[in-house]
Amino acid sequence: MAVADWWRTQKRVYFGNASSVRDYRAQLRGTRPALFWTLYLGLLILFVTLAYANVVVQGEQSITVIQTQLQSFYQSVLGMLELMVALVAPVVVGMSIQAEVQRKSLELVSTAPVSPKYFLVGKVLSGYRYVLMLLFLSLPIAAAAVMLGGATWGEVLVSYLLVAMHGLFYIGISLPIAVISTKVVPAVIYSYMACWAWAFGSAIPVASTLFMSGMAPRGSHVEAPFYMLMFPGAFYLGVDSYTTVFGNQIPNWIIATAVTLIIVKFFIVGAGSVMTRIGSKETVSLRIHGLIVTAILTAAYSLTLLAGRGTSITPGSFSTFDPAHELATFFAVLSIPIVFVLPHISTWSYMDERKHKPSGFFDVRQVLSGTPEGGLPYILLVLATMYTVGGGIWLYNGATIDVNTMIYLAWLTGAWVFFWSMGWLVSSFAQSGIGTARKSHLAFTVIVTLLPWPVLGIVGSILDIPSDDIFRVYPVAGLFFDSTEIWTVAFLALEFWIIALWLTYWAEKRRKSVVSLMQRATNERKPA
Amino acid sequence: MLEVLGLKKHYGSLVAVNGIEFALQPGDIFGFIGSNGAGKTTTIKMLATLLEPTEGTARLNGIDVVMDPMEIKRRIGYMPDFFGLYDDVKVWEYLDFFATLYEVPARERPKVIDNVLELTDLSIKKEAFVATLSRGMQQRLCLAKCLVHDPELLLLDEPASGLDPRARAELKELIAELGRMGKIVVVSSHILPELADFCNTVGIIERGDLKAFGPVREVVKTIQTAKVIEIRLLEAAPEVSMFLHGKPHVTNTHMMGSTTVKVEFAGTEQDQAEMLKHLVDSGYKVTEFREEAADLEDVFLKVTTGAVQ
Repeated sequence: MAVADWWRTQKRVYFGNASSVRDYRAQLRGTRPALFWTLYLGLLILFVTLAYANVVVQGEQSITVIQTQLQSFYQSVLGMLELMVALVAPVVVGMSIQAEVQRKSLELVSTAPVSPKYFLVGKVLSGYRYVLMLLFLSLPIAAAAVMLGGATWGEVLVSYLLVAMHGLFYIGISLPIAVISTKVVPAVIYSYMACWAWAFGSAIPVASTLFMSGMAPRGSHVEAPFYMLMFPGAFYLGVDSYTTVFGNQIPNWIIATAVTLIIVKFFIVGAGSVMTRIGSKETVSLRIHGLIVTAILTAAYSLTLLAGRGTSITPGSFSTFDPAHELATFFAVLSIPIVFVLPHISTWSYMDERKHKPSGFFDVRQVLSGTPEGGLPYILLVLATMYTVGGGIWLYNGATIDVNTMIYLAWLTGAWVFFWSMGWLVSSFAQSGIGTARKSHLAFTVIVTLLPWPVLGIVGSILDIPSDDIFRVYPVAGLFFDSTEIWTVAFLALEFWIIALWLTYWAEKRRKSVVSLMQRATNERKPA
Repeated sequence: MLEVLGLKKHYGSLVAVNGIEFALQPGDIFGFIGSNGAGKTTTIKMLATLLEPTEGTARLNGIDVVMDPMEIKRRIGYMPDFFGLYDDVKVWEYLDFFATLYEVPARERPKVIDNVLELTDLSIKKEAFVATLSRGMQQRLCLAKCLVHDPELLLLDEPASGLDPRARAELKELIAELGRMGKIVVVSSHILPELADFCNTVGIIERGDLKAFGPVREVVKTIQTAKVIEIRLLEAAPEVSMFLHGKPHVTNTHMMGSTTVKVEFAGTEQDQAEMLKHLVDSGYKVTEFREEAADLEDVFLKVTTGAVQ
């Protein structure tokens, strides 16, 4: 019975979704879509003609040279498609959701017996239809690349699947941004910023991975980290790559597709959580997906780093690296995305809905409910998941975890507790609503993290203090020091924890006074 | 039956709705009256599950708005004061969209759509684009959308705002018809005489407090501590005001010109007849003697202070 209900719900959400059908009817009406698609095809043909003219030089050339030129022609076609998808996907979703908010039709939909997930999946499907149309219309050009010998049909199909997945990923990123935004323009601009930050930012780990793994050129059937297929800048290099799982070679495009779908679901439940009340199914699901995504990314990144050093890791194989320091750096890099969710889970407000009103600052029972008192336990749970999965994989591969590692982890945990406590404190000052608290927290995070670098640098140069010495008191600089200076790291960790505890104490005092003021004010208004 | 039980909504120290309570029966058309910012829309939004109450709850036929919002959504139709229509779809497509959301079976949808279009007198516009409809028609379309799933409770927030007199009259008739169909209808409005025409129950809200609630006649009666009787004489008699002033049950008198006097009277109908007899016996030629009926507007002005939050 439960399975039948579940299937009926899934069928309703993913097939025949009313929101998607409505958008579909509107999307293909009038002259605008016809003009858009004509323009798109025109641009595509112009680009392909120019690209072809550019790579194929007149005169006698060897087969190898022509082959290489045709391959770069094919790559430029893929690049163009990727660009079009990155341009269109965020704007379609951002505008579609914001249009609903602006004309207040979302209010009508919200009173219907459908979950936010239903509405959001509808928007994903209608946005994704655009992406698929973009790809479908470009198929003749890809076919030309195959006929000319620049690529095989197999490569084309996998590449198209991957570009389609990237499109889905862009839509996923844009969803929560569109839901949080209050106007169309910021929704589109922030979505673009996030998508393009992903597209360009991902080039760095891909480059380092390629460098470490010594990957062979495009088309080679080699083992490579699966996530390089998720990165727009380099996916075509690894179309035929694989990952060995228990002795079996699994094509990376399968793993990349599965992981993309999980991450997109994470974005959908994230956006859904924003739209729902305290303790909603969406919020609980978001928190669980957050832990799953953390575990997957930690495992993926661990395995990739370790694969670059061979199948077995011994302390010696870290060469000049200090193992504890390197593991801490690994966890620090992995935990960076927490910065994007921190403003949402470390702030509170009594001006808004119940889900933003805390009854304390730490309650393990609320870890999945989304209330502010569950924020700190959730951050600690995410870090614990990361340490357990990452540490486990590293230990399994022969790395050691010693006292130095623990000191580094105490520093890293202290850092995130400190940033959380800052959110808790700024909320007590920003009593005009949760939005103000979040923006203030983001601003303080940027100031505290970035401003001291130039300031301390200038002070150091004026007072003629070596940079290592001057940064010894700045807790964020913990990763500057390796285990030969572990007591400096221990000091910085202690510094973080003491400041965090003090900020929390201060914030709690302020929060309690806000609560008593509110109670006094509301008690004065007894029902008539 | 709709029971509103101590519904409260606070925004920080601002109390938008302050523990209001009332109950409505099937067929009741409830006029919710209040100034801007009094708490009408907040209350309606809480009933529509769009806002979460700070305290208290409401129950529709035993189903709790806070505990089971999804079930409540299946049983209510909500029309906001500013409703967003998808103007790029046809009228039937718009209704089909909501019928799908409300899980109306696909086989029944065309018939349901035809029925609600007929009820709202929009059948002729079935194939028209929503953008081409007049304001009044769009209002009726939004009401039609509220009816596709045959709800038990209709929440209409300022449904008549921006309508011309004809469209207003049509809407009034439609709402009255919904009441006759046994639905509970909650209507908020500023246009008080209009509410009095078709509402059988009213509630007056100010600064989040429900100042008065009950059947229109009872509310008027409760609020009206003294009747006002207008007396018109055939000839000018400025002294009639002084003449009546000391009489039993007369609390105040005002001359309105030289032939008309308004008397605030606290007595019964028998006392009223006695006063008329006394006037006539004293030689005053009375051409008109009538009790001024207090209307909702008077009641509203009397009950509220004009304070906003």
